[in-house]
Amino acid sequence: MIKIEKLSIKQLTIGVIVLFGLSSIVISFFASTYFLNSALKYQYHSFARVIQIGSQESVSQLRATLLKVASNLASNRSLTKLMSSALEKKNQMAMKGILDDTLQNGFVGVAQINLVAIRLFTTELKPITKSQLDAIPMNGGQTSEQWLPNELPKIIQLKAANRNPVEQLKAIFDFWRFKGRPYYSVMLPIGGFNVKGYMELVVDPVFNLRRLANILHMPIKILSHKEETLFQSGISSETLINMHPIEYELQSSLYETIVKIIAYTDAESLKKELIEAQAYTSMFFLGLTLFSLLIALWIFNRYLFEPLSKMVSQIKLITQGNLQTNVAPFGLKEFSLLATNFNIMTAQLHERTKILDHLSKNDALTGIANRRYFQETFEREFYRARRNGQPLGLLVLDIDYFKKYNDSYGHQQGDICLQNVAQAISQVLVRPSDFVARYGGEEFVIVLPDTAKEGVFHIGEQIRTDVLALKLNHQASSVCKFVTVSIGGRVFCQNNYNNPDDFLKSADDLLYMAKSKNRNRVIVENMQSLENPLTKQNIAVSC
Amino acid sequence: MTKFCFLLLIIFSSQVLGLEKPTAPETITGVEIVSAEQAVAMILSTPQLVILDTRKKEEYEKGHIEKARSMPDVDMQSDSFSSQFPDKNIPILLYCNGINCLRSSNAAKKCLQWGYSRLYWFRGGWQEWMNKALPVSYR
Repeated sequence: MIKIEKLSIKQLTIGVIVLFGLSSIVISFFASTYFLNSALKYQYHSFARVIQIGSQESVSQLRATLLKVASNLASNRSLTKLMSSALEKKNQMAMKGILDDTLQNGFVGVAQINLVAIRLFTTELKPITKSQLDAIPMNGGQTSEQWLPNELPKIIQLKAANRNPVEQLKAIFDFWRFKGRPYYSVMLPIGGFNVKGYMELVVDPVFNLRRLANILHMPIKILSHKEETLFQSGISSETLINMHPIEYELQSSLYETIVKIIAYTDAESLKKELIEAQAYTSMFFLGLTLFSLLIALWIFNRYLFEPLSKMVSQIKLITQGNLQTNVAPFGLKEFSLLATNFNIMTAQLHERTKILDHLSKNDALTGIANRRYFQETFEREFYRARRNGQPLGLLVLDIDYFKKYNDSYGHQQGDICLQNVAQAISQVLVRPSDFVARYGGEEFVIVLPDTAKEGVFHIGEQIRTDVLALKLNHQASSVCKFVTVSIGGRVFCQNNYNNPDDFLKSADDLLYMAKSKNRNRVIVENMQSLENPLTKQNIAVSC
Repeated sequence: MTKFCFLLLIIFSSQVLGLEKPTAPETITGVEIVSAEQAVAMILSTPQLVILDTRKKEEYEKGHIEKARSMPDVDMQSDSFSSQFPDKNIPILLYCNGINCLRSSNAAKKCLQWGYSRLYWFRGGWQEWMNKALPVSYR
C-alpha cells in the first residue's frame, strides 16, 4: 500500500494525472460503447419506421388502385341492370360472365393487383354470385375456391352493419385472414346512389407488399400470422441468419395480425462501421488525453517541479550554513513571491546570525575574542601546529594589581582600562593569524601561529611596553605609577606538550613567575624583560 | 447583398402588385358550405338538386358524382345558364377538385351574381369524395 504522505509532489501529480487519464479513457470507452449501442438501436428503430411507412404506402396505393377498378366495375351499366333482378338464375350466370370477363371487369392491364375474387351480394349482404375463382392463380398452385368462404369476411360485415343511408354509399376496405392466408377486400355499392347490391373485390396483399424489398433495398420476408413464409425476397435463408431482422406487423382494423413483414439489415457491416468509428473515436480520445497529459506534465514540470526542486536545493544550501545563498525567483507567481520573501528572510537571518556569531565569539566590553572563542581557536591552532610541525606561540597576560585599580578608580574606569589594554594588544598584532582574547577578568591570551620563541618574546615585550606607554595612572600599584602588565609565554614546538591544556597551563605558570618576580615583565621560556622598557617609538618609559 | 436587395424588391413589388398565386376563399357570403356526407344526403333527399362539376371536361370524364353536369367555371355564361336553369330558387351544388381549387368558388360567385339564392358549395370537392370512397360515376 502506497502511503501518500511519502510521495513527492511530482510523483503525486503524475499519479493523479495518470489516474485522470486512465479514468477518461475508461469513461470514453464505456461512453462510446453506449453510443454505439444507442446508434444501432436508433438505426434499427428508423429502419422499423421506414418499413412501417413503406408498408402503409403500399397499402395506400393498393387501396387507391382497387377503388378505381372497383368503382369502374360497380358503375357497369349491364351489371347494374342485372342486379335489379339478382336472384334470377340466368341473371346470376350473366353477372358471373361479366365478373370473369377481364375486358368488362376492368382488370385488363392492371398489373398492380393480384385479384383473388369478385363477389356480389344483395343489399342485405347475402351472396349472389362470384367470379370463376380457379381462373385466378394462387401461390403453391392452389385455387382460391378451395380457400374462400362464400360469406363476406366478418370484419367487413361488422363495418357494414347499422350504417345510415349516406354511410352505406361509402366503400369499406380492410384486411382479413382465412386459413392462414391474408386478404384485402373492398366492398362498395352497385348502382350508385340507388343501391342495388354490393360488390366485393378480394385481393392478395402479399403481391403488393413484396415490392417493399425494392423500395427499401433490403431483403424482406413476409410471414403469415402463423409464421408461415408467404414471401421471401431472392436471398438464401443462410444469408438471412447473419442479418438483423426488423419486424413490422400489418394489422386489420380489429388489431388482428395479418402479416409480419421482416426486413433484414446487414447488422454486421453496420456494427463493424460503428465499431470502427468507436475505435477511431477512442484512439483519438486516447491520443488527445496523452497529449494533454504530456502538456500538463511539461507545464507542471516547468513551472512547479523545477522551481520547487531548485528552491529545495537552495534551501538545503542555506540549511548547511550558506546563508548568503539566494533562491532564484522563477516559476509560478506564488513561487516568485515565496522566493522573494524567503530571500528577505534568509538575509535577515544572515544578519542576525552574524550578530549572534559576533556576540558569541567576542567579549562585549573589549570587543576582542572571548574565552569560548579562544578555546576553539587555540585548540585548532595547537593541532594544526602539531600536524604541520610548526611552532605556536602563546602569551598569557595579566594587568598588574587590577583589583586595586578597580578599588581606586571604580569599575567604570576599570572597564576603560581593560578596553585600552585590549586595544593596545590588538595594535601590536599585525598578522591576520595572530589572535587575542580576553580570558577572564583582567587576563588576556595571545595566540601566535608559526612564531618562534624570540618572536613570541618580542611581541610580548612590545605589548608590555605599549601598555605602559598608555600611561594609565595606577596609584595603587606597587610596581609602577602606570598600569603595567605581566606576561608569561610558551612556544609549542616538536610536540613538547601533549594537549592544549598542558600548553596553556605551562604558559600560565610563567605568568605566575612573572608576577612573582615583581610584575611588569615578560617571561617567555628562558627569556625575560629588562628593567627599563622601550616603547615602539624607542622612548624609555619610566615607572 | 445586391442580389438580396433585388430579391426583396421583387417579393415586395409582387406583393404590392398582387402577383402572388390566387388562393381559393374559405367562405363565400350567401353560399352554404357542405361536406361530402351533407352533399350525399342532399342528393338523396332533393331530386331537383342540380350538381355542377366545375372541373375540366377531361377530369369529369375520368369519374364524377352521379348525375353531376360538367360545367367548367370558365364556360359559364349568364344567358345560357339562365336559360338552362330559369328558376332562381333551384338548389345548386357546386364542386371542383378540392379546397385549393378556385373553379367551384368562381362558379358559385357567378351564380350568386346572377341571382341564384340556394347555392351549396361542396368545398372538399373530388378529393374529399374519393377519400371517403363514395360512389363514382363514369357515365
